[in-house]
Amino acid sequence: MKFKYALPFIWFSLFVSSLGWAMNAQEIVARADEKRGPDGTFSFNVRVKDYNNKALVQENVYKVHSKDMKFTLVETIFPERLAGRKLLMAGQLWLYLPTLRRPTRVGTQQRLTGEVANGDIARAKFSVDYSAKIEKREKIKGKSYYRLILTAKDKAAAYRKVRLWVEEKEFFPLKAEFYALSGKLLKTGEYTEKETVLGNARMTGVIIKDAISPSKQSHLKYYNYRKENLDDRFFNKEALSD
Amino acid sequence: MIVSSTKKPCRIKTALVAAFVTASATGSSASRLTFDTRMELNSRLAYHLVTPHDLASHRHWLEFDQKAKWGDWSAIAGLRAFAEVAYASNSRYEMTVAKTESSEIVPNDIYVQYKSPSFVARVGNQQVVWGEAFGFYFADVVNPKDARDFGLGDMNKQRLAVPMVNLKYLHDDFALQGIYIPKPYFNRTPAMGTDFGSFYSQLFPQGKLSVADTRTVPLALSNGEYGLRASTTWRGIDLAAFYFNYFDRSPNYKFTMVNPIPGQMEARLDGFHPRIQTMGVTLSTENEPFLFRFEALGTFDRYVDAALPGSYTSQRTNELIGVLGVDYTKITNWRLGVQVSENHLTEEIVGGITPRNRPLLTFHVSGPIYQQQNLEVIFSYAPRDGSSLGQIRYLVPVSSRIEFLFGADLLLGRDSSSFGRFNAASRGYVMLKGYLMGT
Repeated sequence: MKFKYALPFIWFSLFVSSLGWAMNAQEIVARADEKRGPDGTFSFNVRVKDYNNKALVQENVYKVHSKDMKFTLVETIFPERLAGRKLLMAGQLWLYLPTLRRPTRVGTQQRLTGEVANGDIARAKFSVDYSAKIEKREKIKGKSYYRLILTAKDKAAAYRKVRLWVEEKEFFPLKAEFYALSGKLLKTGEYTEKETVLGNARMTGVIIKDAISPSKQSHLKYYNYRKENLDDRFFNKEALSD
Repeated sequence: MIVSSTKKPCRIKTALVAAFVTASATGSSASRLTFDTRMELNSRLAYHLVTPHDLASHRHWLEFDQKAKWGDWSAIAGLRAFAEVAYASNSRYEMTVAKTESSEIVPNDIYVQYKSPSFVARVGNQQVVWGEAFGFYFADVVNPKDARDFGLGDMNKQRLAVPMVNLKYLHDDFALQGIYIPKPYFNRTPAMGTDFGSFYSQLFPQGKLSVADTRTVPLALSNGEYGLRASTTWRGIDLAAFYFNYFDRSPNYKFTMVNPIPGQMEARLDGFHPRIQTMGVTLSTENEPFLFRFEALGTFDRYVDAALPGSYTSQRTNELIGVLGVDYTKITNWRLGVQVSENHLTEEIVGGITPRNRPLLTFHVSGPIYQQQNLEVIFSYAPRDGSSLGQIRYLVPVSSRIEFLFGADLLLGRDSSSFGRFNAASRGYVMLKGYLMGT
């Protein structure tokens, strides 16, 4: 008899708790985004080293300007022979080549260098591009993690799905798997190197590995973060040559 | 015997320093003055791919830019220079070619720029690039081009910077651009006797022909060129519409028989550049896994030269151009593209040197082969006459500042066809490129 009365309450509790998970998933991703980079308008450098079988294949350095998660401008500063190339994310992606002197549309999945797609650097916030759901909770090396599945909100996202592991306590991302539309695993990412950036602890390193050939890797190191005051004209494709 | 008498332009900019000092004086005192130097050195050794497989080019380029930035103000001063050894060392070229085409120093970008939150104003020698197409200039009508190498190679190196006032209004995705060119300049055409200047000799095989073409018009209000371009992004589609009122960058010719005596026949072509107008729309959009690029242009009051037995005339017509390009983006580190274009003259011109319809199909593939080594192939096919142009480039970086470029330009087809007529200019080359930067 007692169980009969308790049943609606259990159902209600389960419903509320599942609703809570669904609501919190997006918040968890937003918190994990904060651990990957600050909010607002800022700039930073990212050094990308591409390896194949542990041999350094190439090294690139980019200067990245980001505004309110809406705009990102990635400028190549090293090597010198590629200097002046710019990648702008402002809804769509444009590539400005000094040899062409005009912006051309490019896809988010096309490679910037090594295992790094244009969207990996130009679209840095998962919470903006993806809808999140908690798949389950996992214990890894004694720590509790949320395992989330992120589904692209629109075609502007670099991947159709991302599986992301986020630490339950402090929301630091641990690793990610990036999937194509077909469901095929394209590559994996490991978040490394915790440092204090603009007053908060954040992950400043990522290792991206090809899913089929894990010996093909790109090691990204983010540094030299600065708060900036940039207006929207800085991110207008018509001003890329200026 | 062929004689060329192309006049060289004199474009010396003396106001740059004064303009920048003035600019600096009105800038924010909190801003820091920064300087950036960029230097590019290229050396190319090219041999003809058709007999007698002799030296086609041994050229050294220097491109130098000095940029200064102070708050919202910036200024740049640059030059381009080259020295070509092949014309003097290869006996296939006449001495007149060696004298006029062996070296050159021209100003590159030399301008002062001011950026406000909504406006960008740039005054001085500069390049303005419109359009979405690759490989060929369709909507890219503003700057004259250096056509001496048939447009092969980097497009920004073919484009010649000219003095103009360039104002842009920016608001969100919208941009409105107005340009004014007070003293227009025209294309640098291939000199007679060079690989791509063989066209002239086909016009008057009976005797000696000389060509005179001024590359500019006098500075006068009535000679000014002006244009307007509006662009925006709407539902993921980049849209632009433009209008440009200008002098035709390519010359039309007036034919004069200087000496009609058989055996001593001599004629002269005097270039002229009629005022024309071009308006057009361009767009590009992504529909995964494809990127679409489109251009539609109408050029009004263009003249087309017509060569008939015993006469050489120029007749007025309009030209319509349509370009559609599709890129496939699914292969992540390769770029694949195809482009179809059609140039159509609204009037049928008997004996017209330019055919009424000129369809062109272009394929483009580029991507890494081994580590950072990159292959690029551009293949263009003209279905009207069955001729084709193949460009193959293999880039081998050897350090962060130095790269080797191995390449070939193949022009194939019948002698009278659009690409085949330059078959003898087909070349294979190796190029050393060096880049230096300083701050």
